[in-house]
Amino acid sequence: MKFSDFICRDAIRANMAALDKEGSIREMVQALVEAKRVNAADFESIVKAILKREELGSTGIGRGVAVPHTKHPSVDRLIGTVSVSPAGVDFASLDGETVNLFFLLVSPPDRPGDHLRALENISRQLRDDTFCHLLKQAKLPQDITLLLDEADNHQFGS
Amino acid sequence: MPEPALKRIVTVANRAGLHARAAVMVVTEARKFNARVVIAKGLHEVEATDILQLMSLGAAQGEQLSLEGSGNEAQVAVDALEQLFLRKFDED
Repeated sequence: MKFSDFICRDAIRANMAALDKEGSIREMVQALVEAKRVNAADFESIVKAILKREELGSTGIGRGVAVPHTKHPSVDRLIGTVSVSPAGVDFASLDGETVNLFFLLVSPPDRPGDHLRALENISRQLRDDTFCHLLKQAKLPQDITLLLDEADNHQFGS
Repeated sequence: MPEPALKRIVTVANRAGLHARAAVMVVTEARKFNARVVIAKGLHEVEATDILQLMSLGAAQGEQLSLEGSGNEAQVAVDALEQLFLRKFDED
């Protein structure tokens, strides 16, 4: 699976303002609403579902990266977005570090395989330190899009 | 002389596969022991203590993985990790 298969380009953001977990999730889901990938009517329900998943254990996986996610019946296929926080967000990560790079995923309830393949792709690409570093340094959504495209074309890692 | 490696085959039984929370459980467990455990899906080998590497396996329900332990606590480490798979990571 490639980034272009699930990342909604119009929802990519490089200037996250929120400094806490709930605020950051709200910003990312709002970006999906603005990109018309999520209905405004489903906004609160999706935010709550993602926060509920975080209660089971933070998706802050270390190295300044988090992958907040949920299943939700309002989507008919896996969608996701990428956000960069210049300041860093307190996300209760595994390693205690703040998070600068987010991949948020919303998947249909009955498609665990797609979610797993998206996680596989994200984690495989992030193993490349250069890719990870450049993403965190991105100043514009276009920078992020370009990096994701390069990753899709095997410019980074394996 | 180094201890001989200890190898065990496990099946990913939970429906969601080795997703983020399951991978966190593996990492947390693996870090408890004085052992190195390598988890492999086919030829793709990763460290049990590295979450990015674990998720990059994309191990789905029904797939087989090998757990290969070495070091002083290899036996208990491999046993503990095998239990996580047998318990389906407390899911389903």
